[in-house]
Amino acid sequence: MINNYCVLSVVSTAEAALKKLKKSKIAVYDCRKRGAEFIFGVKDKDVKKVFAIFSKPCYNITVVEKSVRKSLFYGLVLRAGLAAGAAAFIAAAALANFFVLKIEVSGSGSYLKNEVLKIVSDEGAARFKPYSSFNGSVATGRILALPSVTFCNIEKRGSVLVVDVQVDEEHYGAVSSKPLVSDADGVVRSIVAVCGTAAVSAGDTVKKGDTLIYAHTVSGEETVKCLAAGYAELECKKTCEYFAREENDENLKYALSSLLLESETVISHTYKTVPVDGGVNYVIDFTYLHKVSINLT
Amino acid sequence: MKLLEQILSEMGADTLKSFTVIPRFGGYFRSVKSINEFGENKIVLVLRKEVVTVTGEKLEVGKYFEEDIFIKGEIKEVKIDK
Repeated sequence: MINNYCVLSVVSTAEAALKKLKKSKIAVYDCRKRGAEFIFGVKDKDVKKVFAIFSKPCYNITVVEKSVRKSLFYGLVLRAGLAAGAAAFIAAAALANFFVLKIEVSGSGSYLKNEVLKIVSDEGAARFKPYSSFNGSVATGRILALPSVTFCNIEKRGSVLVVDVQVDEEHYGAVSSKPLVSDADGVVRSIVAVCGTAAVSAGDTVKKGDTLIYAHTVSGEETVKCLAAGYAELECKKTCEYFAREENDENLKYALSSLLLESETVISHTYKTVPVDGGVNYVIDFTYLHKVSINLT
Repeated sequence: MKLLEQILSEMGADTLKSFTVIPRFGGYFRSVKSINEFGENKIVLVLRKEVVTVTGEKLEVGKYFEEDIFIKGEIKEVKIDK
């Protein structure tokens, strides 16, 4: 039986024992007789007092059962090492739950692991760092901006941060791992590197074949390979010729409209006419914005 | 409890000397000065002016503190003698 009090046995009549205990204002519990013994329970704080009351040798008083609280206390004292170890384990387990000890990237977009790890690291998640310092919503938004990513879920399972990244099946495997290179000579107007590292900045002059976005990132002194994703707008120059029978406003309009390039914008132009056999040649010098991109859907 | 106290008061009883018996469970007795007899089938309680004899089966003292006593067991009869 589980008792919250100490069970004692005294060789005495129940009436006499209860009279003495009542006189001393000690609460007694579960009193019963067992042969010549009177068995009763008292609270731990009253045990010493009860032994003092029945201190005469004619009363043979013994402890039958210690209280659960006292038993636990003595049990823990005797097994101090075990108790300390258990307490340390519970504390360590509870403490570890507040920290991120491992980061896993799963799903069909796991080939973007380097980029994903870089993003979650930027947003405050790293091994042995508290999870509370991690900005999950911003990290999710940045991961969704990665090429072909259609779904991202970040959750903490125990001390492991699991990042589930899914990519569009149509684009799965169609991602280029090469850097973004310029396909024309020009001046960089703007550059946006979603992933990777920009190799040039606005105002730089580039030639065809020059790298615009590297397929790696620099973390401290370490260079980590990753996908290059982003775009650059280049200001390019070009000269075109247009033949017309004669020089007039209408033919000039046709000459200029021949400059219209697919998804490119003409910024400025100058022209001159050169007489040739049977008509004139419009020679037009113009500048236009040319956009090059990589791994953007 | 308030209702019980009100009934006892209207009947002219002293609530401090009241007792409650629950069949097949036990009984709660107040104003007990001492226990004159203690046995499995009989417990005799001495009050200020009365002696209460509780008879039954498997009687035990569940708790006894100051002048209140809780008797566990199947109480079959409570007799009051002056």
